[in-house]
Amino acid sequence: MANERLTAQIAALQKRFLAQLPEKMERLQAAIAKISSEDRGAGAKPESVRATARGIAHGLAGSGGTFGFPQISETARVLESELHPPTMQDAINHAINQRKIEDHLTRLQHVVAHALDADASLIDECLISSQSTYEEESTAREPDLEEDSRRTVFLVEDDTELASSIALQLGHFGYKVHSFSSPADMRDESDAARPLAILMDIGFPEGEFAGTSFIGEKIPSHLKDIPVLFISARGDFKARLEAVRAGGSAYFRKPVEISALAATLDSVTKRVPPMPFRVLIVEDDESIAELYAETLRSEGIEAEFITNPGRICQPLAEFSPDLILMDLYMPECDGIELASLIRQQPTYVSVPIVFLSCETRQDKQLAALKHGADDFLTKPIHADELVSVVKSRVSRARELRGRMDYDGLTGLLNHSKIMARLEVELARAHRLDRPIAFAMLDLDRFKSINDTYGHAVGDRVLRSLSHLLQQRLRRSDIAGRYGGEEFAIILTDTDAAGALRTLDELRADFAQLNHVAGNHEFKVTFSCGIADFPSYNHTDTLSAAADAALYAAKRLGRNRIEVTPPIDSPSPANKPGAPMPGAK
Amino acid sequence: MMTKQLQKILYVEDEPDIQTVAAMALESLGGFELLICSSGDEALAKAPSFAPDMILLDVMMPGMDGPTLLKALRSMPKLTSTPVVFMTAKVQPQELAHYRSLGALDVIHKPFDPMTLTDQVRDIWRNKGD
Repeated sequence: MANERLTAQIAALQKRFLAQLPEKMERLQAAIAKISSEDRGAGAKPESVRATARGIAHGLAGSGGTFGFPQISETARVLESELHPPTMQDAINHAINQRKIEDHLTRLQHVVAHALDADASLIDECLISSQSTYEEESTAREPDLEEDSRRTVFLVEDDTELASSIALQLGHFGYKVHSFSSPADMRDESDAARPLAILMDIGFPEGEFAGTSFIGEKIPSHLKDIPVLFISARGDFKARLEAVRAGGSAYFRKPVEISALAATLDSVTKRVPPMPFRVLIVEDDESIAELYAETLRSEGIEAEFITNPGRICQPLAEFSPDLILMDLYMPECDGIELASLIRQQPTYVSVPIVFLSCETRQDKQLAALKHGADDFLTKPIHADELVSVVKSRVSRARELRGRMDYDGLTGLLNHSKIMARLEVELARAHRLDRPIAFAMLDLDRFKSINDTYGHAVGDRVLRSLSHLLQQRLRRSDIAGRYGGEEFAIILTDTDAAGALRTLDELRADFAQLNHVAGNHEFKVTFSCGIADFPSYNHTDTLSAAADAALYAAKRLGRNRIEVTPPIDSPSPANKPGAPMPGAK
Repeated sequence: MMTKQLQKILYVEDEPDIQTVAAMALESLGGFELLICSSGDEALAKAPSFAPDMILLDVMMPGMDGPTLLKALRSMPKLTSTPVVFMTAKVQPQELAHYRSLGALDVIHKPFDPMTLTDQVRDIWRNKGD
């Protein structure tokens, strides 16, 4: 079973390798073009472009076969050998060498094109589904493996200005928009790529319901079964009914709120799948524990087990299970006692505990339930039943916990949860000796937005920032709403410099978003402060340092990010007379 | 004398995708404890405290290349006799001899097959002689 999972992960890496090929080939070709004598005068020294080309070819030679393309490796290796500095520098040998390089490059291009053709439909979507569990990262942040690079949607809208505005805005959320000005245009011009979704206006010059009737009755076969989101200036019952009858997945009134549109696009295109369920198994028989774990893993549930109940504290804190599956009778510790111990901690008062035991006596089962267990299953248990009980208990528990842990407006962790999480992540960072960065983010002049446009609009701005954070941060990063207009972000496996790079991009993109209030459109910016571990190694000092940097960012003009360097270096936050950290 | 078990491997490779595949192959399939470093400098910083049983080195890396890194690693007291294996596309007999003369135990051919990498590593460990 483990092998199947690995094979799937390797397949995902293979797709990623293919996706990067076109860009590598372009660079290779550009470097080789510069090697020829005609270009020598125009800039780069011939030796350095030769080395660049050789490096790319070497990389392809060394990796092609690993990802399943031995021909790429072989062809690239031959090209690489020709790219060594020629031993004889005279004109004839140079010309021969040049011709060989070009021949081998052409051959490599054919081999690469062949590999790409075989996977053409997958390249269009550039889907990468591999988990980052096994990825060991340097402190220079690697892009999340889940990031798609060309998520295409079609937009059918006759108002060209609106179309380009929507296209631009959705671009910030990672979507590539192809615009058409009528349904007929989309039908005629779109036979190449299949989009992930179609955004369709309802009314067109050719008819007030031209959009819905096209989707409902005239959709060509190459666009069938693609989710459709309708947008319309109309909000009346008839228009909405037409949209429902045409099979639309959603309906947006103009002016379109982009972050809501992007959120719906994400869910219909399944961009942000829910976090996998996590189950902790406590079972002293290792082979049984392994069996349960594998059964759950084959259903996409993350499972860890411990055979020694005494060791429960660390996995409880770090793995943070959604459900604990526990044997009732264990040599060192009674399951009931262990359940009570777990429930002592406020965080785990509500985690579902399911006992799994040979015990068939009903009075014993009831006693177990009385002491904090949520369910009692008897061994031997059928795999299907185990999975089904686990899944339904975890879904329900998550729903309930959502109300306690998450901020209702933004869907991010609430204040106490994000700070509790910071403690957990800091402990883990200490143990693994990896850096983490902590950022405090505050919307600029938010009070005046509320005063000018009203709190409903202010709320929408908060939601659109939260949405952007959830989209653009990695799976392993955690965002929370720290206060009214303040957010906190934990970036794992990242130092301050890496966090700065990521968040500055986010800052620039958020500043570009248009927010809508009635007939007004406006833009909003945020300021941000960053500090990292190991420069600061305690939750208090780390958050105070980030806070001080945020304060500096505001003072220095807003819409910017500042980083607090470690204590022993000079910084505005460390100078006497600087504002006391934590004074917010 | 019983051969010590091969448990900890240090792997030095700059390309992230290859790192990921190697991690899958050696950690999940092989069950080894793996430390991956992206550069010679990182390896020199982390190798002594990790105390690997075996070191796998990519030969061509930007900055410090494999052979240079090997020399530097050998100058560290704990690592003077740790088996080192080069990962390289070049495996002509004379090149193999050259790498051995630099102090490598063996070479593994790149591109490697992730499904058999662990076997190759175990074979090398078993045949190293004590």
